[in-house]
Parts: sequence; C-alpha cells; structure tokens
Amino acid sequence: MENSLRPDRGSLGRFVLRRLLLLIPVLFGVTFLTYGLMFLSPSDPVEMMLQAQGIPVTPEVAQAMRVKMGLDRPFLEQYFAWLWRFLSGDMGVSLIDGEPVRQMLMAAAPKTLLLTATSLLVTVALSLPLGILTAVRQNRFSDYLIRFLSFLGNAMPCFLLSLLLLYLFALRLNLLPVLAGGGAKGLILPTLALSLPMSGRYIRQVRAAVLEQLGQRYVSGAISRGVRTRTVLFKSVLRNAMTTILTLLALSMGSLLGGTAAVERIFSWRGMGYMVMDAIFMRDYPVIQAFVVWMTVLYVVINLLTDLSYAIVDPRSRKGLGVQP
Amino acid sequence: MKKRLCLILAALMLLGALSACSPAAPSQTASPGGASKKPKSFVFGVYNFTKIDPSDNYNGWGTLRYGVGETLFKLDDNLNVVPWLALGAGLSEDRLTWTITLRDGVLFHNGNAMDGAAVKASLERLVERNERAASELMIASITAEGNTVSITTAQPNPTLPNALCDPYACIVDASADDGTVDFNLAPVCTGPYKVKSFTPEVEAVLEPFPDYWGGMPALDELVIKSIPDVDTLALAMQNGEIDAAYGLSYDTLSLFSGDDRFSITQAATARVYMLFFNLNRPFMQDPAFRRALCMAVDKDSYGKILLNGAGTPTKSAFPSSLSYGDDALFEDVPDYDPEGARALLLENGYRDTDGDGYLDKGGQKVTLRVVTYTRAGLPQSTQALVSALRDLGIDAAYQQYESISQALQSGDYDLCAYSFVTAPTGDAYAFLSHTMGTGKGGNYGGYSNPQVDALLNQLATEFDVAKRAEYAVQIQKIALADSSYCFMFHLNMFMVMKKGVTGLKQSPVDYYQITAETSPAA
Amino acid sequence: MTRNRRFGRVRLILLLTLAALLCLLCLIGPELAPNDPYKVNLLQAKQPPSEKFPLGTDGFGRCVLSRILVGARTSVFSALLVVGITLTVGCVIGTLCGYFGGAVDTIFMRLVDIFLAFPGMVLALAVAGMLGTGLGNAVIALAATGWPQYARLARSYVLTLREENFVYAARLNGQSTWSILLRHILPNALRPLIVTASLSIGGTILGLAGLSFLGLGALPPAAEWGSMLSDGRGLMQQAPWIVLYPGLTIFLTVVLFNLLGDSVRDALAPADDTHLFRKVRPRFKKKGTPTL
Repeated sequence: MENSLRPDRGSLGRFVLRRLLLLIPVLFGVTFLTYGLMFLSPSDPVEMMLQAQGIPVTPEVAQAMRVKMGLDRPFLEQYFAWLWRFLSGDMGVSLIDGEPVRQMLMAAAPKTLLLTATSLLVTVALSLPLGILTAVRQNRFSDYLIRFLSFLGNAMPCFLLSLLLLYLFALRLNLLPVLAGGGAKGLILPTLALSLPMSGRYIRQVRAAVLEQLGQRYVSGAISRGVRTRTVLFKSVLRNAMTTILTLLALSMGSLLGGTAAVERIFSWRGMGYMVMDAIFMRDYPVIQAFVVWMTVLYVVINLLTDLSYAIVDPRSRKGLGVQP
Repeated sequence: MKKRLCLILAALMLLGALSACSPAAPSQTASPGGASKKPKSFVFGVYNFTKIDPSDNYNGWGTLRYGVGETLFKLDDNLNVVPWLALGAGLSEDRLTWTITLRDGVLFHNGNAMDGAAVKASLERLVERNERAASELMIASITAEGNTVSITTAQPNPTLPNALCDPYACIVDASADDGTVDFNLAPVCTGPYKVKSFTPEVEAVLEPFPDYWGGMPALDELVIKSIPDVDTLALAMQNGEIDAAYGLSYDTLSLFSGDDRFSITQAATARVYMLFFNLNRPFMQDPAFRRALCMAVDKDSYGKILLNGAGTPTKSAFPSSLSYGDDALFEDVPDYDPEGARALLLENGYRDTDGDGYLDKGGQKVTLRVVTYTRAGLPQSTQALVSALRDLGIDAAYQQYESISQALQSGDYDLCAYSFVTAPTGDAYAFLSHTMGTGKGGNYGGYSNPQVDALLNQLATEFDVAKRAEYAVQIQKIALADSSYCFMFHLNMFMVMKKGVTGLKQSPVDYYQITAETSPAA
Repeated sequence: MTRNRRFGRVRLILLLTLAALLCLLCLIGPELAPNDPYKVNLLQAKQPPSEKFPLGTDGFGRCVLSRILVGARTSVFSALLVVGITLTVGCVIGTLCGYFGGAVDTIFMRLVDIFLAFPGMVLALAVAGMLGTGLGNAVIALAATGWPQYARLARSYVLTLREENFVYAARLNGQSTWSILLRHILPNALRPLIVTASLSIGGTILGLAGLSFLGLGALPPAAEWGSMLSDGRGLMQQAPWIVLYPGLTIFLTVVLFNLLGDSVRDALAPADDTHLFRKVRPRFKKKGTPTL
C-alpha cells in the first residue's frame, strides 16, 4: 500500500550526514557566543566575579585572578582553551562555592528534563485530541468552548498560574503538599503550570493543521468513495498533519527548556532553571555558560531528531534542509 | 505506520517519565505508623541551609543551630558568657594565659572523649582554616593537660571567652578529619544530634546521639529542610508540612499570629539595620546634611508596619538590653522629624533655586544614590526612606542588589542600608572596630577619626567590663555626634512552629535553635 | 463567504480600536492615576479596595490602580518596542540576504541559524543576566533573541518574490536596486511579517513580565506589572489584590493583543480556506452517504 513511500536507506543516510555536518558550525557559533557573553557586561568580568563573592577588589587581586583564569590571554585562545576543557568534561567550578559545575549539572539536569518531558507529554495528550475534536466539530459549541478556553490559557502568564495553582491545590483544597519533593507528587503542579498555557496555544495550531488537511480534495474524494470517516482521519489526515505537529513539538521544547525558571523557583523544583537563577545574580559565569550550552545542545539535538522523523514520515522533505519554522 | 511511530515515541517518553519518577532520595516526614511506637520526628524548615563544617566561614552557625555542635562557652539571654562545654576559665597574672576547665564525660559523636588534647586539636584546626577566628582569638599557643586547656594569646585579649562562643569555635574531633568523613557534611562534634545523611542544598537528616552528655535527646529523627523561597516556606508551614520554620519574611507574621494552630517565638536580637553614609561623596561630607537625612528616617513606622512590629527603633548600634546600648545616653542623635529636616536643609543653604522641584546647593542638584540588598526588611525600609527623601526635595534614586558587595567596593553610592549583627558574641569591640576603625573592612563609608581609633585601641586591651562599656559608649557618641552613621532599628528574629512544639526558643543570639529538648507537638 | 469576510473586517477594526485605546491609555495613564504611584504611605499599607484607593494599596501604601496605570506604559510600550525592533532588524537583514544572496546571505543565515539554535528564554535569561538588571537590558535581551525568526521569514519570501515577473519587469525598466527593494519587495515581504509580529506581541508582553518577575527586568520602585506580581507574592494571602489586579491586567492585555494578532492574520493572509471547506465538508456526524 505504501511501498512507494518506504524510506530509501541511502538518501536517508545522506540526509542525516548532511544535517550533522551543518550542525558543526552552528555548535561552534553557539559556544563562541556563550563564552563571549561573559564579556558583554559593561564592567570587567573579573571585578564582577570578585565583588559577587565579597572579595575586596584591588588591582593585584584582580590581576592574579585574571591570570589564574587565563583571562589575560587573547580572546580566541581563551575560547578554544575553554572549549577544549568543556568538551573533555571539565566544565569548571562554581565561583560561589567551588563545587564542580559538572556535578551540579548532573544533579539538576534530570529534574528539568523530567519536568520538560512530562509537560510535553501532557501538552500533547491535551492538544492532540482536543485540537482534532475542534477541527472536526468546527463551529459548533464544543469548538467554541474549547477554543475560548485555550485562548484564555494561552494568555495566562505561567508564573501567575503557578502561584494560583500552588495556593489553590496545596493550601485551600489540601490535595497536594507544598513541599512535594522531587518525586511524582511534586511533578503534578509544575507540569500543569507549564502545560496548560502551552496546550492553549497548540490546540489551535493542531486545529489549524488538521483543518488545512481536511480542506484538501483528497479527503472529500476519499469520503465520496465511501471510505469511513474515521479511517480517513487517522490514516491520511493525521499523517500529513503530523509534520506540522512534530514541528510544534520541537518548538515547544524550546520554550519549555528556557521557560522553566520561574516555575521551578515557585515550586522549589531543583532543576537547571533553579540553579541558573542564583548563578545569574551572583555572576557565576561557569554555571551560566554550562547552562546555556547544554540547553542549546539539547534543543539542537531535539530539532535534529524532529527533522529526522520528519524525513521518515515525509520523504519529500529530505531534499530540503529540514523544517522551516 | 507513521501513526505507530508517533505512538511509539509517545510511549517511550511516558516510560521514561515514569521510570524517572522513582521515589525521591531522602526520607520525608515522619511516621508511617505502627500502632505501638511512633518515631518522634521533627521537620525544621530553614531558608538558609548551608554545609556545616564550623571552621568554614560562617557555616558554624548551621552546626550550632541544628544541634550538631557546641562551643566551650555560650551566651545567655542577656548576652553574658556562661559555661557550656567548659566549666570555667581562669586568667593568669600577665593576662596572657587562660586556663579553661572542661566538663567531664563529654563524648564526641564517634565515641571519643572530649579532653584537653581534643579541644587543643580542634582549636588549632580552627585558626589554621579560619582567618577571622585567628584574628579574633589571637592564639599564640595552646597546652592541654587532662581535662584542662591553657590558651596563651599573642597579646592581652579581653574577649577570648566571647570569641569562644562564636559558632566557628564548635569543638570537633579533629582526629576524625582524616578523609573518611567529610566535615562539611557530617562534622564529628558533641551535640545532641549527629548527621545521618546530608544532601547539600536539599536537606539533612539527623539522628539522636544517645551518649550526649546532656541526656537522651527527645527526637528519634530530625530533618532540616532547605526552603530558600520564603513564600514556599510560609505555605509549607501553613499546610502543616513542617514542624517549625526559620527565616520567614516579616510579612508572614500576620498570617500566623492570629492562628492558634501555631505559636511564634520572637526575641530582640543584636542585629541592626543601619545606614552607611559614603563620606567621600560631595553632599555627604556636610554633617548638617547628614543630620537632616537622619531626621527623615521614620524608624517607628518602618519597624511597626514594614516589619510587622518586629523592629525596635534604636539610636545606638547595640540593643537596649546592653548597657552600652542605652538610647538615653545618645541625646545627640535626632528623632524622626521631617519638618525639622526641611528646616535644617533650608538653614544650610539647600534650596530649590532653579525651580525644578529638587533642592540644590552651590549650583549642584542634590542627587543621592541609595542602595541596599535583598535581606528581608531592608528593601522595604529603604524604599520607604527614598520616598521620604524625595518628599524633602532630594533627588533620591533607589537600587537594590542581590549582592551588595559590588556597590560597596566600587563606592558608587551615597547611602547604603546594611544589616549587621553588632554583638555576635556579646561584646562591642568586633563591630565597632570593623565598621568605625580607619581603613577597616567593614568601614564602608570611609569614616576616619583619630579619637575613635585611639579609643578602639584602648578597648582592644581593656579587661574591666565596666570600662569596656564606657569606651563603647564614647566611641558611639563621637561617631554619632556628627551623624556619620545612622542606626535605624534592631530586629526581632522569630520562628514559627506548630502549637505544642516545645524546646524551641528564639534566642537574642540568633544561632541557638535546636536543643536536646526540642520536641514536636504531642 | 462574504459574510465571513465582513465579519472578519469588523472584528479587525474593533480590535485595532481597542488596541489603540490601550496605547492611548498607556500614554495618558499617569494623568488618570488617582494617586501618586510611587509615594510611600506606610500607615495605609495593605488596604483593601476603597474609595480613595480603587484597587487597594500594596505593602508600602502605594495605590495599586495608579501603579497599574503607570506601569502600562512600561509593560506595553516596551513589548511593542521589542517587536518593532525585531521586525525591522529581521526584515532588513532577511530582505538583503534574500535579494542579494552570496556571501552576505551565507554569513547572516549562519548567524540566524546560531541564534535560532538557542531555546527561546535561555538566551534572553543569559543576556539579561550578563547585561545586568533593568528594563532596557531586558528589552535588548528579548530583541536579540527575537530577530532571527523574522530574518528567516523575510528571506524566504523575498527569495520567491525575487523571481516574480514584476520584479524582472522593473529591472528591465532600469529601476535601481534600492528602488525595487523599497517599492516592490519590501511591501510584499512585510505582509506576512506583520502577521507574525502582531501574533507575537502578546508573547512578548508575557516574556517581559516573566523577566521582571524573576528580577531581571524592571527594578523597584518601577511600576512594571511583572515586578508588581513578584513584589506582592509575599502578601498574596493577606492582601490578594496586590497580586490579582496586576495579574489580571497582564492577562487581559495579552488576550487583547492575541485577538488582534488573529484578526490581522485573518485579514492579511487568508490562506485559511475554511470557507472553502465549509462548502465541501462532509457531515461526519452521519454515517453512510455524505452530503456534498
């Protein structure tokens, strides 16, 4: 039935290779920018570091620190030295308490990933069925109701939602503990706080994508030929809308990865967003750099995987350079 | 087929999420309950959870607070030095050697006896690792014999016993610091509780030390939970998820004070909120101007309203429980008098000559940069002050930092609101020297007065307590006569706990919290 | 079909009017404020809504309504500024890349790829963190992370536009490159970009409020909506109006701008052929013979 669309191993492989090669300059650029961020601040990074730790800044102390950190060497040399260290696993130590950044990351990253994964899951679980529903029942009451609610959800700032959820569920209704720790119980409220606004946005996008497919000739053609509506829906429409939906998933990972900071703070969820807020205020550059690089690498990898699955789902896209957001 | 792929992806993610939802590591609160014996567990939520090697920086505060470590002497509610692990101290003729008798039968957590040799090793480890301790103790040599320790100081040090009350002087078994145990996480001390497990920045689970010299501790399990977000801390307390909380914001006092499910223990401490005037800036060099600024500070309202009554207005650096903190002695210091401030400014040539709504003098608009940091109560008081200054016609701008050291080091400010514990060990010298001595580390405003310096030198070596008090008063009088500093109010520190909790009392010395008697509500 | 179109027009005009009113409010807000938004009056702190203070007072005794009105300027205009900057910069760069191609194209598109590689808020957080607190820096941070998507979009449209007949004709006629760019390319490329821009205003307001909430945007005593929320958090139980009203304001403003964005999209880019669909849509309700 679908023989003509079976993936051609060769071209898939070439596609993957091409994408990976293109990745390299991007990753260089990302790390370059991240390292250069440190010099963005109007004041001398070394002075800022010392001040944030409460060490009196004298020219000798500053110079000694500069030499120790290799900051007196030309920028490119610094950058490559840092990159080399970074790639070999040495991400430096926190300027606040001397703890190896790598350890901090290994402790915090799984928590953020967990939160992100469950939020994504819940978003998909909400948006997909509801989006399809509203597309299919277009312009009926359920459509308007769901669209209205999703519209409101989209406009709600997630930090306000977090505060309200915490207050409502923990204090008033007493359904969940405030200090829910790191386990499943503690995941519920932050996940809701993140996924509800996102679902609001994606229900409408799923709806639009499905509607676009439903408007195509082949749908009415199939139906007039007597194919069951449900079959049409799942076999063809969803498949073709999948590319759009996958893109949405990848993009939403982007907003999730960065947007967890406020939510993690409010729910005391000790992930990377939590870790980086302290680092930002204390000018803990190594931590900030590690945070930015890793989040970006993760995002890039996810985009790559999306493009790959996109290529598997729709071989036509292999010619191009992947999804254009 | 594509649908299947997506389903597989979704299933994988779900599996991944579920498997990662493994039970969180350390144990939560108490008691699943067997019908017969319910373990007595206590959960203490704190906002500033640190590691607890006492010789490291200020981490000794945690060691003391959580009932893990103890010092040779402690301070009572009137900030007098009283025996604790030591029974007494005698001073030699030449005032250089202190002979300290230790309490009998004190054991370390690992069973070793705390004798003279152990105390000597502990103190030597301390001065080697902690610069502040070394300079405050001024130890030249220590000898130990049985249950006594003799400390010889490099020069006469009248406040050695006070310094030995400082949390850094928690007595540890230095011989156990050999690499097998991480003293940052589980120091071997003498207190009623010892560390069972310690997860930095998350929580510490402590268990009772059965051979504690003060008797069997009341709890079977003590959990110190780190909750750096004060709103979450308040919510957790309200929800009954913790037995006691330390570090709540003053705003939450009203939440708990009316509620009879909770009780609050509050005490006035020696922590002062004060203003540093940057004496290197143009307008700040005029004493009359500074005086006018002092008159604009509505200490009463800030203490009552902004801090919910937890602030006691003061004129001096020290609380009124101390003789050298008696406000009556400082008549020079002006009261809150906004009209007086206005008049004073006018008198001294500050007027709005160019009609821009702000005062100016000598062609220069009076612009002030007021900075502070985010310690509970400081931003509020400072913002209120800035508003009051603007009412006077001063172009005051407010900026707040997470870490104030930046602004202080660069000197880029006119007024800085800061918080100091002025008598951490019940004595005036440390604070006065640190903040008013020429060139000293805490003298952020650049104050320098040879009279004060001379008095400080005398204070450093004066053994007579009454004389010391006199010097302290004199020093403050000189510094405050020309309004070089402004002390706003002393803070009450407080802890909220469930009704029925016993053995937990807020002390005027902010580092005594958990004791062997601390016990949850029945 | 025409009825739908007309309805869309009416809706667009209505929303544009509302948005304009909002901007007007931002401009004259400070005049409308019943009290001084910065004046600290401790004796009247934490008051519930009353006649003098229609939305109550915050922890310092400052009028919440006045602060919301004054903060409108900060919150809304800053967001509009960010969108304006990203739109302009992105459009210019994208157009130039798309039209001229070559080295310029390669370099800038690599740059765009790099910027797009960063997840949204991550870069904004890092930049705001490095630059320091303050509304200006938050604006710069969000603008720096927002321009790439417009550049990409502009470039892809210009690539297509470049091959259009009327462009060839203009070139044959001897029109200068700049003239072609300004007269033909830019206006056409701008259309879809404006759609994207109007759709992202709401998100930018949320982003700015979010940064301020975290402490990276506007600083006290500035009356920005996001920082009002973070300030009032500690008093949420004792004086909920301090948090609720600014929160509600953010919410309603974002709703307004999202609706506006939708309207603009529907008006300018009716690629949504649902109207077509309605004609041919089979009735899914009934099984059996579909009606056409």
